[in-house]
Amino acid sequence: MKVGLMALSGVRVRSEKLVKLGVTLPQFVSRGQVIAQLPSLSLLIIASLTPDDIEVDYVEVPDVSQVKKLALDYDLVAITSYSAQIYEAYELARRYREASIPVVIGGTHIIAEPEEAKRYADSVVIGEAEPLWPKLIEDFRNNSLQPFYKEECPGTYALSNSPIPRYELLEPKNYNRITVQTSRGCPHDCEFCAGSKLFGNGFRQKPVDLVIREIERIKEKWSKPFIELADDNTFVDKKWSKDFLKALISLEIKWFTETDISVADDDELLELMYHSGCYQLLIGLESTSRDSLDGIDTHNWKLKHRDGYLEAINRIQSNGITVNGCFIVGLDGDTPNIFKEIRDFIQKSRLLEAQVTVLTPYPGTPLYKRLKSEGRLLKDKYWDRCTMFDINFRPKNMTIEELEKGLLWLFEEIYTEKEYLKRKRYYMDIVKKLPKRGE
Amino acid sequence: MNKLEQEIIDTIAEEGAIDKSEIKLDSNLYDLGIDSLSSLEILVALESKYDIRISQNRLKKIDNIKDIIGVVSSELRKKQRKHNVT
Repeated sequence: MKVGLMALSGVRVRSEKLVKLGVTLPQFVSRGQVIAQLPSLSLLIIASLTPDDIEVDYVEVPDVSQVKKLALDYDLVAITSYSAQIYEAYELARRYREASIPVVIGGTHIIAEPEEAKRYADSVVIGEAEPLWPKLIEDFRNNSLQPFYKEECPGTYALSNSPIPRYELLEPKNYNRITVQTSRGCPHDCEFCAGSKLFGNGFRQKPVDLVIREIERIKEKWSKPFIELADDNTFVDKKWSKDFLKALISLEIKWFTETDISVADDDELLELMYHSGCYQLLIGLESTSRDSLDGIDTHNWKLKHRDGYLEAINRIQSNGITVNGCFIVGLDGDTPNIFKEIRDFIQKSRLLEAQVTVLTPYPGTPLYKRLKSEGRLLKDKYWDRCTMFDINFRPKNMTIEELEKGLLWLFEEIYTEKEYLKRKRYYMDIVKKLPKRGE
Repeated sequence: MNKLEQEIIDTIAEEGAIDKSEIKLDSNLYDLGIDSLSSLEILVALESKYDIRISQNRLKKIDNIKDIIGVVSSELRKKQRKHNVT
């Protein structure tokens, strides 16, 4: 028996103006390249959960329309995808089913829209793979595949039981960065977040020794890998964080993760991050405007931290860790002035990198439900515009045209080579003064 | 390959954790697994090794090994000229 595990990879942008502009902006392109090359961790976990006597193939499909001839030597195909590529995933599923190969589909979009997905697949996985896949594969062997496999209590699966993903299925030369997950969830509960709540409430973390074993497994194939921690917010628990970082130092890796700005308050943590090989933290600052931050998360955590953003970024970057600051435009508090405010902030803070995206109503999020109830979605189920760069809603305090024009203007301002080189030179001068990592 | 070129390649191999045999003069950095963040620290290591400071303008268009060698050589020549004047 053979199972084909298919990931729809790559970044999508629909707006022609943005596509045209994007290819000319080096910094925009470089992060896109990185994202496009990240392996799908969920499929590698599924491979681990599959019994040894079943052969598995890990396949990345960057563009379904370019797949002229399908590999048909599978007994079952499992597909995962994000919302932006979901119609492509459905098309791939349709083609496999046409070839009489049953299809299973899962992922964050599917958790939010299982009935929609069922129209295109034989079976739909609603939840995390670990508690569901073993039963699914057993049923498939017994010719009793069920239409839906749903996690009974989302968010309760103990990550200490999670298997080590089958990294050995990856061809080393195809991956500059390898993903490792240390946690699921985030305590901040942001209205727009499509990741942290769909797998259940709460924050769960893997034991340090399990994460270290995963990295050691990776090192069997990549001697000095660049690890991208596939977390929503890695350093929520500072005690766990320090234990983890201390264990990481001897592994001599480079790594990147997403976390929140509170890491700046802990000097020991920052020092451990630097020496354990942290090259960059991606931090959701979301906005520079108080009005826009107000109500973004249930406890107004980000609004409360907003006045400390500049100092916090400086403290993190001074410790030799670059910050990729993430901003969202189109928030309800945004007026047309927001673009200039964000540009000025990026220049003043000297963030090495910045990621500006447009507010995106992903399915299943409180934001989606609210905008839908307020009649502000341009079109329902407009999933292929869930790219984070395309607009699919009516902003509150500006027009759609103002939002689109402002986004393009901001891209041109912050992603120009001149601006980036200025920030790059500044950061290089910081690193020069620091001791060598690990010493 | 001259001595300087060899030294620079040695530093790139060490900092970038790359097998030296994989590095050719026309090797593209990204193809070697060196992304923009890793290239920053390689440049810093070279600046420290040769006591130079690469000007902001020279940081652009560093796409391959030859570009790095070109930038370092040029900054070393600049340093030598300055030294001769003083």
